[in-house]
Amino acid sequence: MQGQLPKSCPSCGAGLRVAQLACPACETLVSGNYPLPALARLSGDDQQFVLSFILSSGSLKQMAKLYGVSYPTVRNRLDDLISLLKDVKEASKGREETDGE
Amino acid sequence: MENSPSTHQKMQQEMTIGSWLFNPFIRIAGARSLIIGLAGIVAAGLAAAGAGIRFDGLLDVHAGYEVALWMPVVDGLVNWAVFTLLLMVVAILFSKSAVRLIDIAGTQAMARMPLLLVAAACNLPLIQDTFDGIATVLMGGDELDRSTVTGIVAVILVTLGGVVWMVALMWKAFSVSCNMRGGRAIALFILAVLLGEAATLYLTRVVL
Repeated sequence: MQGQLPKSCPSCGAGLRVAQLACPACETLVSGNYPLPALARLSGDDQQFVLSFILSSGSLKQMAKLYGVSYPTVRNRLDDLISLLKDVKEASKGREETDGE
Repeated sequence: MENSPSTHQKMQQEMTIGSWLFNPFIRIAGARSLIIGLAGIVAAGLAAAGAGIRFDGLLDVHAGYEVALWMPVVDGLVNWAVFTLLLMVVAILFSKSAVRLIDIAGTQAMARMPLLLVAAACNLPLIQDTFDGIATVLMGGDELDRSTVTGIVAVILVTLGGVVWMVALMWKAFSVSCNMRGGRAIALFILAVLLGEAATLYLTRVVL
């Protein structure tokens, strides 16, 4: 079973960052302090929605059929996701500015 | 953001009986809802003509008219069309989503389905006898008897229940088709209802 990527600290709830990456072939480890990409910060189900949206060629009608809901329901969910991603982008921008000072 | 409810889960939620009764628009909108809704408006109008009632206003159900067959049908279509246009204007001005007229028109048509039940109920002998009883009393022919009072209570319950249900559906239809929620959306909806009521009262009572 593949575990889910944790996005927030189980202790204080702050957003996690990538500190280490490993090569599965030669076991080389890369250490650093990388922010998670915006899409990776979405919940697993939201990521699945984005994936389905891309695989449907961005067709909301096809998405509505796939999920068995009405067109405006899918469009509203997509708009919610757009709003979430905008917030993430804003937050990342703010964090980068704080780190840079 | 990590704690936000998942989009996929929100869309995949099971439709309960409550959801079907008060927010079927999660599943049905667009052309499908328009066809169902328009059929409902015409059927409600024909049933209303049979019962001698009119939908003379966006939220109105009134008896005591000489009703031609076409009148309640046109009432329903006028009420639906006026409110759809008002909500389209609201959506263009205030919604952040790309709203489609067919979704607003379709869901608002479907939201008027409770009036079909109201009109059908008004054809029941108990309610028809009540209308006759009230007419006799108003013409000074008789005093209110027990069965007429019971009938009046039934009429009030049926019409009030139907209209409240319809308003709840109209709100959900607006919320889903225009992607508007929260206090501002409620205020805009109430404003649209008030404007719609004024416009449809004029159109159905003065023009028709």
